[in-house]
Amino acid sequence: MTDAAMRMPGTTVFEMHVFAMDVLAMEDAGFVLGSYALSAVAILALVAATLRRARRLAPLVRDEDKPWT
Amino acid sequence: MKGGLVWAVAARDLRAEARARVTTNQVVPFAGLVMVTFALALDREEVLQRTAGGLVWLATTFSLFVLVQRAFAIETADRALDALRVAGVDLGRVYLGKSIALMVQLFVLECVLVPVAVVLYRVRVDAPGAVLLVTTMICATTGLALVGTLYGGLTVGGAGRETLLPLLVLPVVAPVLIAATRATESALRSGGAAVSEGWAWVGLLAVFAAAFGIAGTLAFGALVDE
Amino acid sequence: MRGTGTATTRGIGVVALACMAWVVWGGLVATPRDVVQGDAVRIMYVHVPSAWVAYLAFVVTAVASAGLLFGPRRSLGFDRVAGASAEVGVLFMGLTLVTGSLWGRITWGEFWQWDPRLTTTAFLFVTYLGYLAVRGLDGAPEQRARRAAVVALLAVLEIPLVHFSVVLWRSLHQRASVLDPGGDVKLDDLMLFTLFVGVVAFTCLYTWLVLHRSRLAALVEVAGRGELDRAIAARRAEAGA
Repeated sequence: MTDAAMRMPGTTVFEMHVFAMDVLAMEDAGFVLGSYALSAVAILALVAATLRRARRLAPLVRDEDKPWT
Repeated sequence: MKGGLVWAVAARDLRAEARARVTTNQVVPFAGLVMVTFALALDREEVLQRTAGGLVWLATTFSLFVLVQRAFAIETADRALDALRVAGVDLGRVYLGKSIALMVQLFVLECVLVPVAVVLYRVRVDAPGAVLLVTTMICATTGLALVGTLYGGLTVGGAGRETLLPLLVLPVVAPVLIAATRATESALRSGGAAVSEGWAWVGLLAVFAAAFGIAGTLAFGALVDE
Repeated sequence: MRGTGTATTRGIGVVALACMAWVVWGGLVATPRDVVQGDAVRIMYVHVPSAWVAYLAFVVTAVASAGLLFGPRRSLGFDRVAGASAEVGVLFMGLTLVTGSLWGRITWGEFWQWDPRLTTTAFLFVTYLGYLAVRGLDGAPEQRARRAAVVALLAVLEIPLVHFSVVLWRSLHQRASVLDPGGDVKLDDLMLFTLFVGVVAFTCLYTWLVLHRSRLAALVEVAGRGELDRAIAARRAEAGA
């Protein structure tokens, strides 16, 4: 790993680019990054769907019927 | 008198079957056809001989779904279950009765499938193997019937429920498939396994049957409630 | 107008985000490569917490189902938690299987092995799909809740039986030990810490999701009833006019 990656705060764009290349250059980058990406996408999708549906339904229900408030 | 209801329900189901002959006229041919289709799909004789045990139990499991649907079609046809429930009858006993009837039908089916396997897949059975085989059939069939009846009550009633039955039943009967196949392979000497190993698997089948016998008796009422 | 969020969920959400940030940074960059596996070990930081949450979700659904059936109050809140936990659990079970499969592809060379843990997780996944399908069947709310709870408890009986059978089965194939891609990994302090943070992160995520989704289920039920009431009132108004 390059020194550039170690000095994250105040890193220049070029250094961050080099750092990103480091991450991509790891072995089996596709599978490793793919796992992280898939997990992120799946979790975010469920979170978004949950919030969206809640946002749609909440106005239809009186606050008294919401025992958690 | 306690066991009376159980046998009454079992007898009623078996009489209905004897009159309609669905098992003999439709399910047995279906299962036989499945066995033939396996040969078409798997092609090679060594493979068929090796896997004969598993194929018999696969064909039996597929037939289970058909038989369960049938067993509960009888109920919905004249709303018998509702009538029983309203009368305050212990549904656990109804469950055991239906399971016994289903078990008998499955056993009859297997008695046909094993000779079919011997013929089509070229396997042999000797005396110790035969004892193991019959015991396996009894224990595995009990497990299959108990699970099938339990979830069958849930999935009868139309509105897209029938397709749910295989999805629910297959994961639950996986241990039966694993154990019955290994035991049958031991009995048929097709996997190079000794007969003694087969008996260990029969033990697992017995435990499974006991566990689901108890669980099913307790759970059936809640699943059938409408 | 209040949504499904509260101070608690916001707090949990913040902790989850912070921990996740650490996991990504630690997992992808800061932690060292494994001596044997190289960078493949980095998948561990999402796979293991995922598996943990999948089984946690299963336990929570089972406990909530038992609470509904045998608890003193038999509140339908138990049913909502059981359902929410199952929905979230299915997601994490799927992720566990996929990440495990990818990890296995690198370490074992195969996308799938019939090892007991992976196989049992696959069965757990399918069982939960079945459970969610049963939850979708029609019926009165108390009926549906009781039915689903019974199915969940039957799953508690089924899963150990399946696992035990698979362990016995695979032991015949000279692979008695669990095939774990992480089995030979030597964890140094930073790796262990990142793994721990990952478990915390995923657990917070799970908790956040289950809280929101069970509240959402409550909203759905009340809103549904509200619609019914409005429809009845509209009919009455028409009839009266």
